[in-house]
Amino acid sequence: MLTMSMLPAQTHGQNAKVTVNRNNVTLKTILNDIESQTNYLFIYGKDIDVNRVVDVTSMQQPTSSLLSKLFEGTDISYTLCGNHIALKTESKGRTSIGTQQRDDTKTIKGRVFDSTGEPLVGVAISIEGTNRMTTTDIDGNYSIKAAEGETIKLTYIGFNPYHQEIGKGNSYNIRMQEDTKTLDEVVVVGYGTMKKADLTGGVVNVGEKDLNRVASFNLIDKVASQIPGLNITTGNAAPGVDQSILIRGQNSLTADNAPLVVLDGIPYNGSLADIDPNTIESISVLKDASAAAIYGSRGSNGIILIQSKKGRIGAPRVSYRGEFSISEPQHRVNVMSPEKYIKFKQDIARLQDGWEGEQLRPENILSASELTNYYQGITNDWQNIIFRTAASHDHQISLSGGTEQTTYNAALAYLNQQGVVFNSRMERYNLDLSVTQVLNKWLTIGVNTKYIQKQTGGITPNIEHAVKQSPYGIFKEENGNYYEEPMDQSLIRNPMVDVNADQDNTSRNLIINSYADIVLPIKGLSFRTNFGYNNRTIFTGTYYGRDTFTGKSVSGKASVNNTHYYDYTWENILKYNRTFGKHMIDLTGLFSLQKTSSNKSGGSAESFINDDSSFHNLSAGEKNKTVTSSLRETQMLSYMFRANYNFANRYLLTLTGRTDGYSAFGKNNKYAFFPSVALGWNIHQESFMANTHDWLDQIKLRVSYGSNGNQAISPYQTLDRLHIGTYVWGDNGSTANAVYLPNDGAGNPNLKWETTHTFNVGVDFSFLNGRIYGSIDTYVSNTKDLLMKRTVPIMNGYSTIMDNIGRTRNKGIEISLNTVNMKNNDLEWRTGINFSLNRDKIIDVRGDKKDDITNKWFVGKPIQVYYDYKVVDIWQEGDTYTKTDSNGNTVQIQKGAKPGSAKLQDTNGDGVINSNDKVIIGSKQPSFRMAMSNELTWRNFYFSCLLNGTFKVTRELNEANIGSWAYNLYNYLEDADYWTPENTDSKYCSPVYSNFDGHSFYHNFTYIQIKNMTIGYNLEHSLIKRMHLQKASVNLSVNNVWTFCDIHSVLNYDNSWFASYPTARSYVLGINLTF
Amino acid sequence: MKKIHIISAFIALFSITAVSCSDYLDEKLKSELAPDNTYTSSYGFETGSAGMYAIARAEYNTWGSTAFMHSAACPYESQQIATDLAIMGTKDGSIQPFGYCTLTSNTGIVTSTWKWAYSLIAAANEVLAYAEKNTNWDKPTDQATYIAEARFFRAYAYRTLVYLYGDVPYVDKIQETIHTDFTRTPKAEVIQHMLDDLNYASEHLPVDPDNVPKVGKLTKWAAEHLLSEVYLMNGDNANAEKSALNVINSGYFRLMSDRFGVEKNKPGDVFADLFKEYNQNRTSGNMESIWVMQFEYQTKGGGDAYDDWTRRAWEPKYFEIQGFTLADTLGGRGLCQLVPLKWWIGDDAGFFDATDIRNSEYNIKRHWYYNNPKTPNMLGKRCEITDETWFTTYRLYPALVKFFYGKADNLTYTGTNRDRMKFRLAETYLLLAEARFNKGDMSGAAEALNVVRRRAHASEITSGQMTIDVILDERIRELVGEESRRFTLCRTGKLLERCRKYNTEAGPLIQDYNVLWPIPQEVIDSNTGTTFSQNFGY
Repeated sequence: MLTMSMLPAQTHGQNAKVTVNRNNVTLKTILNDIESQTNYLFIYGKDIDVNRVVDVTSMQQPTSSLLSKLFEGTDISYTLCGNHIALKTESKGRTSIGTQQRDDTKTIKGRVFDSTGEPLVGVAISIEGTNRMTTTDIDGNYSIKAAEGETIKLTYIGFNPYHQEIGKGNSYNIRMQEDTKTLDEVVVVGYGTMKKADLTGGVVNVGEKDLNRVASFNLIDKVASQIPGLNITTGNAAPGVDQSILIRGQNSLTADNAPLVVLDGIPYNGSLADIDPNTIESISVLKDASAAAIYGSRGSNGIILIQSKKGRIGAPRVSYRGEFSISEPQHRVNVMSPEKYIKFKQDIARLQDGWEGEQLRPENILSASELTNYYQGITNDWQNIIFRTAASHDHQISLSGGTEQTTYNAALAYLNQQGVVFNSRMERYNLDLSVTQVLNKWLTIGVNTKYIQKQTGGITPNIEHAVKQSPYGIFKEENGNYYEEPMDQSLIRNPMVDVNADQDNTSRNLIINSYADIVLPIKGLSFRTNFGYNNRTIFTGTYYGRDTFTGKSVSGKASVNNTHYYDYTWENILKYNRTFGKHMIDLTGLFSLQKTSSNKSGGSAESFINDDSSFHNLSAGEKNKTVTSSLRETQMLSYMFRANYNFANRYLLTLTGRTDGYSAFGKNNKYAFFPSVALGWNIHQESFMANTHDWLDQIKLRVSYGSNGNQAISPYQTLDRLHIGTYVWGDNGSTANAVYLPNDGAGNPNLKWETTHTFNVGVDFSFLNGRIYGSIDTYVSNTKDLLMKRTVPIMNGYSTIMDNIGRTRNKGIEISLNTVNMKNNDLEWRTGINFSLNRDKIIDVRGDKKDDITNKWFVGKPIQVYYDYKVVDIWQEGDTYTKTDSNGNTVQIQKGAKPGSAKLQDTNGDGVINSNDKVIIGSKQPSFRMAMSNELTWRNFYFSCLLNGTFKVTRELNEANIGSWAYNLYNYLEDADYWTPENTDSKYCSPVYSNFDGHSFYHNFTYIQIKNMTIGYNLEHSLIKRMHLQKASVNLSVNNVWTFCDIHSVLNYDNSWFASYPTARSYVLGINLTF
Repeated sequence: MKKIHIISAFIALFSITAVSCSDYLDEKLKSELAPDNTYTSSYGFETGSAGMYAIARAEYNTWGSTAFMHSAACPYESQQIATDLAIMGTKDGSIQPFGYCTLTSNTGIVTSTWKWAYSLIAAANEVLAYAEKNTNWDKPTDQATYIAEARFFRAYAYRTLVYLYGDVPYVDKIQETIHTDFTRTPKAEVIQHMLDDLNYASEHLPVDPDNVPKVGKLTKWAAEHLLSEVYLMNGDNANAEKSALNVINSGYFRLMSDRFGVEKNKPGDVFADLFKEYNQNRTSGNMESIWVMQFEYQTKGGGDAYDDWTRRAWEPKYFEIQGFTLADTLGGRGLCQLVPLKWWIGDDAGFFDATDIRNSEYNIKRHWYYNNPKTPNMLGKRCEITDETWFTTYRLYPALVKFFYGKADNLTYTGTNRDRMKFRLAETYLLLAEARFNKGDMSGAAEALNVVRRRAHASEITSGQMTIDVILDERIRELVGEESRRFTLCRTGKLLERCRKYNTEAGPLIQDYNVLWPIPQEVIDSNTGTTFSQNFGY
C-alpha cells in the first residue's frame, strides 16, 4: 500500500497523474483517492456537495483533466494553489466578487503552528465570504488581504478548522489544534497499512505525539500505560535492561509469552533497549487473532509493530533533542537502626538458643568484626553506600528531507545513562539512516539501517546484601580495601566486595532492512520484496583482580564471552488492490524465509601473575582454564494469504491463512496452518443512521475468530542431549570430560506447535465531533497443545521434558476511553483511561482433567498460582499443640510448632497439618490494570500526568518471611512487628520460626504509580525567529514520581523480590530545537 | 515485452526458493553431544564413565555447578544429625527438619537426595543401554569394564535409596515414553538387583589397583567392599564375610601403620596422615584406601567451593572469640552445624583409650590457643572449652582434625577439595566384624575389630566384650563423619535406640517412623498414573 501512494509522487507537478477507477461512489471518495495518490489537498466549503454520486475512469491522467471531467456540467470550479486545490461554486464565487472589491482591506501577516509549536506548511487560508485565499509557506508564514470585521478561515488536513475575526491588528499568529477524529488515521498493520476506519482486527496505534508524552531513554517506557492489554513489567530497572511485555495475559505455561516485535516490517529478535526512541514514529500493537494471524506461528502472544521515522519531502531540516536527567531510587527499605538491630539479635538469641541475662551482651550477640565498630561507635548506612543520585544525558541530531524522487532521514544519538545503583550504567550510540528512492514509475527501492553500540558493565553491588547488612559492619579496611565479611561467616558479604572488577559489556547491533516495490503491469497488482538482516555481536569481558573478593583468593579471575548473532528474513509479497464500484478488494500473498543463528564462544581462567592485563590475556591464567563455544540455529519457512474486502465502507471482511514450518519441531510436525476471519461493520455509515450524524461520528462493530501459534521454545528439544562436565583423575591430574544424560536431556520427537484460537468482539466509537471516543474489546482465547516443560517422575531417567499437553483459556475485556473535557482556542484538557482485565485458567493439563500438583497447575485455576499453606494466625503459649489420633497415639498438630510459629490452616479438617492442607493462595497475574492520562494545553504551555495501577496481584511477602529474610542473623525492618513472648499480639511470627515444610507468606498487592508528570513550553515564535530557529520547546518531566501501596519494603513493585534493582525517580529536562 | 520478462523472472524466483527449501527445516545439533554420537567408541564411554564418577562425587554438593546440586546447605549433615553423634549448632534451615525430626515429604534434601540417586541411575542406565549395542571398542575388555562401572554406580545409588526410603521403584532403563505409573519395588528385590550388579562389577572391574587406567578408578575391590555391606543389608552374613575377606586377603591393601605422605616429617601420627590433602590416593603411598573420590583444589574438574562442606559442618566458630583470628592451621572457617556430643568425644578422652592415636591432639583438637596478634596480651594463651563455648555459643569444642581444611590464600573458602576416601580398609574390617558378629562368631568379630584398634594403639577387646554397640562405637572412633551414620544405624537397626540414648536434642523428638525418610511429594504428585504410597508416619 505504501507503494501505491508513493508512486505518483514522481509525476508531481502541475499535472500529477492519477489513476482512479470507480463507479457509483461519492465525489468525496474520488477526492480522497486523488489526495492519497498525490500531494494535493482539497479545500472546499459546505456549499460543495461531496456526497454526490459519480463514475470516474482515469488511467494515468493528469489531475487537471480528471477534475475538469469530474466537474463538467456543474457549477463547481477548481483552483490550484500550491499543494492545494480549492473547490468553489460559481454562485458563491459570484456573490463574493462584490465584497472582494472592498478598499478597506489591509495586509494581515502571521504564522501558523501546531500545538507543539511546529510551523504548519501549506495551510489553506481564506477570507470567509470572499475568494481571497492563500497558503502558508515553508516556515508557516502567510500574508493575505483582509478588512476589519472579516473572518479568516484556516483549514488543514488533520486539524480542526480555525476562525479568526480580523480586528485592529495586522498580525495574527495562530495555533491550530489537531483533529481528534482519527478515523482517517493510517495505521500500520502486518505487511501493509490500513485506514483505521477500515480495520477489522484489534489494532492499537501509538503515534509520535503519544510517544513523546513521556520523557525516557527507553522506547517501551514511552508506551507503558497507553495501550489497554499491553502489560509492561520493569522487573529489572537497571539501565539497558529490557522490560518484559505481555499482551492480553499469558497463554503458554512454558513457552515464551513475549509478543513478536516487528521493526520496519522485519521480525526483530534483539533488545528493545537498543532502540533510540527518538527515531520511532509509531508503534502498533496487534492484539486479536485476525490482526496477528498474518504472523501465524508467532502470533499468539500478539505483535508489536515499530515504525521508524522516514524522510519527508521538503527542504532539509535539522533538529536537536537533548535530555538531561537526575535520578534517585524512588524509595529505600527502611531497615533497623543500630539499637533495634541489637535488640533484634538479642530476641533471636534468647528465643533460638535460650540465652539470658549476661549471655545477651552485645559481645556475645555480635560477630567479631561487628564488635570492632560497636566498640568505636561506628555505624554504616549500607543503602547510602550502594545507591546514588545519578546524572544522565541524551542527545540526538537528525537531518531529514527529500525531493520527489529521494527522501531521507538520518539521526545520530548519544546517551550516557547512569543508574541509581553504584556502577550501573549504559552508554549508547545510535546511528539511523533511511533512504527511499523512486527510480521510475514501476520501481521504488529503499533501505533503513540502524547501527547501535551499547556499553554497559561494571559489577554492581549486591542489593540484598546492602539491605540486610549489619549497621555495625566494617565498610573498609585500614588499607582502603572493602572489608569482605562485615558480619563474619554470614554469606551476607560487603555488598561492594566485587565492585572494583573490570567489566566491559559491549554490544554492536546492525540492522539493515532493504526493500523494492514493483508495480506490475496488471492493473492493481504490485510486488514487494523485503530483505532484513540483523547482525549483533556482544562482547563481555570481566576481570576480578586482587582488589575484589572473587579475585583475591584465586589471584585474579578473568573471563570473556563473545556472541555473534545474525538473522535474516526474506519476504516476497504480492499485492492486488482493485475497486469495482462499491467493492474494494485487497489481496496479499507472502512467501518468506527466516533464519537465526547464534554463535557463542568464551573462555575463562584464574591465577594471573599480575592484574595489569585484565581480561585481555587469558593465556596468562594458570588455573581453571575453560573454553566454550556453541551454535544455535533456527529456520522458518512461511506462506501467507490475506484478503480484505470492503463494501461501500460499510461492510468489511478479512480472511487470512498462514502456513509456517519451523525447524525446532519434530520431524513429522514441522508445519502448521493458521486461518482467521474477521468482519467489520461501520454502522454509522448506514442510511438508517443518517439522522445521528450531528452527535455520532463513528460506531463500528468488529468480530474476529482465528488461530495463532506459539513456537517460542529453544531449538533441539526434540533430540536427546548429553551434558558435558568435567572430572579430574589423580593428584595434580588432568581434567577429563564427563558426560551424562541430564535430568532435562531427553528429547521429545513429537513436539509441535502450540495453537491459540481467539474470538474477539470489539466496538469503536466516537461521539460529539471527537469529544468522546474510544473502543471496547472483549475476547476469549483457547490454547491447546501447550508447549510445556513438564515435570515427570525422575524414575523415567529424566525429570523434565518438553511436551505438548493441556489447554488454557484467557478471557478479558479492554476499554479505552478518551475525552476532550475542555476545548477552546487557548485551552484544551484531555483525559484518557485504559482498563484491561484478563482471566486465565487451565482447562486441562494431561487430558484427564486432573491437577498437576508438582508443576502447580490446577484445572479451572489461573495458570500461575501460588499453592501453599495458608497462614491464619500465630501459635501462642497455651494453645493445644497435640492431638490423639485414631490409634490413640499423640501426634503434633503442626510439626515443630512453638509459640511464635505461624499457625497454618487445617484445610481438610483432619486436625493435622500436612501437604493435603495446601491451598491455592492466588494468581500471580493481577486482577486488572488501569491507567489514566491527563493532558492540559494552555497556549504555549502543556502539562501531562500519567497514572497507572495494578490491582490485586498475589505475591510472596518477603518481609513477613522473617526466617528467610533475616536468617537469624541479618538486619531487618525498623518498624517490624514480630512475635516475642512480650509481644504476642504481633503482625508477624517469631524471628526464629523455621517455616513448616518451607511454606511462604503472601500478600495481595495493589499499587498505583504516578508514572510521569510533565510540564512543557513551546517557545514564542518571535523569540524563535530571533534565535534563527524553526521551532523550540523545553519540558520538564518527573518519571516514577511515587508509588502508593500498603507495603513499603519493596524497591521495585514490578518485581516480586524485594531487593531487586530499585525503580528510579528521574527528573528530566528536555530540549527540542529545529533549525 | 519487458514487463513479461519481469513477471517470468519473479515466477522463477518464487519457484527456486520454494524448491531449494526441502531440507531448510532440518535441525543439526552441533553444540551439544547426543548419546548416539557419543556412546559409539571406547573414548565416548570413558567420558560417560567420568560422568558417573562426577555425579557420584556430587552426592553432597550444596550449590555448585557440578554434576548434581542439592540447592541446600546441609545434604551431608542430614545423614549425621539425629543420630548418636551430634546436635545442631548453627541451625541452617535445611538441617532443622532433620535435627528436630520434623522432616516432611517436601523437605528439600529429602527430594534432592532422591533425585541425586535416580540421576546417577539414569546416567548408568544410559551407558548400559548403549554399551550393549556398541561394537566399536579399543580393547575387547572395554565393553565389560564400562558395563561393570555402570552397574557398580547403579547399585551404589540404590544403596542410598533403600537405606533412606525403603521400597523404591527399580528401573534399569531410560523410559522411551513418559511413564507416570511407577510402583515401589520391595526392598529385598532391589537389594537382589544390587547384588547382581555388584557381582558383575566384581567380576569385570580391574583387579590390580596399581594398574588402573586412571588414578581414582574403581577396582574389583571397591565392588567387593560394597558387596560386603549390601550382603549385610540382606542379612547374608556369610557372603558379607566372604566379600570383606576377599578385599582383606587380596594382597593389595593394608592398614597404614607408619607415617607417610606429604607431612610425614612434621609432628603427627599415621591416622592424621590419612586425612592430609594429597594423601588419599595409592600413588601417595596410602595402601588403605579402596575407592577415592577425586577432587583437586582450584582445578577445572576438581570440584569447587560448594563441594563437601564437612569442614564447615564440624568445626567450631573459634574465630568469633576475642583473641582468635581465622587461620588455616586451625582448620579454616567452621559453621558448627554438627556439634559433637560429649558422650563420645568427651572433655578429655571421651570413650577413647588414653593411648588411642585417634584421640591424639593431631586428630581431635582439644587445646586451643589465642592466635590474634591484634590482642598481644592474650596471644599464645590457652582458651578453655566450657559448656557455654561448646553448647551455647558453639565457638569452641573438641574438633575433628580430619575435616580441617584451611587455605592460606582464601581463609573463608567454603568447600573442601581434598580427595574423599569413600571406602577404606579399616571399614572393610569393621564390616567383617559386623558380619562375624551377626553370625555369632564373636572371636572372629573381635579379631577383625582388633586389627583396627591395634593400628590405633588402642587396647584389644575380647570376644566376651563383643556387642553390636561395640562395633558401632568403634565405627565412630575410626570413621566418624566418613560414613553415613544414618546408613550404619539403620542397617544395624540401632538408630532409634542410640539416638534416644545419646542425642540430647533429637532423642526426645525422634519417632519410630523416622527410621525412613518420607517419599518426596514431587514423586507422589507427578506419578499420576497410579498411587505411590507414602512411608508410614508422613
